[in-house]
Amino acid sequence: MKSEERKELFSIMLNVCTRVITLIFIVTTLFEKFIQKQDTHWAINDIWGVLFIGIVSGLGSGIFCYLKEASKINVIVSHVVYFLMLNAVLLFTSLKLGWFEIEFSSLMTMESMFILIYAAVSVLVYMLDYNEAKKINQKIQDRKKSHAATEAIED
Amino acid sequence: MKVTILEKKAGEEDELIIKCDSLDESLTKLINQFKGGKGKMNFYKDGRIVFVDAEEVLYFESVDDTVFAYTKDSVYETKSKLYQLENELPASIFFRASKGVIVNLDKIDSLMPVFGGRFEAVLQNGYKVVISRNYLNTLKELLGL
Repeated sequence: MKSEERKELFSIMLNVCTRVITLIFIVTTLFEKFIQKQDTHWAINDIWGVLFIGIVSGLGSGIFCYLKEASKINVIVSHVVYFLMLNAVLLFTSLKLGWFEIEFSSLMTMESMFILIYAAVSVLVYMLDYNEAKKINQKIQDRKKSHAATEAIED
Repeated sequence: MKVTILEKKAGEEDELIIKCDSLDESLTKLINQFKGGKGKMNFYKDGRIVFVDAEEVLYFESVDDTVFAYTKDSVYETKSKLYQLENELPASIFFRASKGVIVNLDKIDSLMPVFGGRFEAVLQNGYKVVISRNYLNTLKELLGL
């Protein structure tokens, strides 16, 4: 792997890691405040747990860097594997730190929050790519206009 | 290699004839250089050599060690490898979009993000080509972004 690719890989992993950590804190705080109607208190262990999940998410996102040339099916399969892997890590961490009780409703709340955060991160990533594509499209249109103007002058 | 130079008759056009069993890499390069001044590339279609303007090519794609050139309405085969084409083609127009594809920037209509953090370029004839994130910076540099 070239140094540029390593840098890009690290940057992608760091971006995903920070987004996941930030969103866990935001979603959990909002959930506690407006749904559970109570204030959030973060213990050091909870913070370590959130950091752990963020780091695993970041490392897992590195999988996609190796799948850039892969077919659509492979990309979809890797997304599903990534989703399940994160889910497993979350459940393991939550059980260890007692973030939910072993009962159906508590598990469903945890799963809903996980899906919400996963969807939010995916949408954020897509929006960033969309903005990048928009800038590139604008440049492509500018280039076409400039070529057309040059051709008109030459004619 | 035997080189024979024949005197042409008055009014006859200059002609270069290559006699060989098959066109190898060096001969292909030689023809490309010869034709280069006129901006034409030699491709193959149905066993015949066809000369096509490089600018007409939408993209080159390598499939199982064979490189194909796609124009608006035809697909040609070329003996050159992608890395050779990358060196021969004008870098201000053609760029590597992924491991197996070189795209003509002037033939891109628009770009869209697709599932898995990749981008898809929609070409003028509606063809879609994946641009991997590794090569996105090359495109951005070409466009001055």
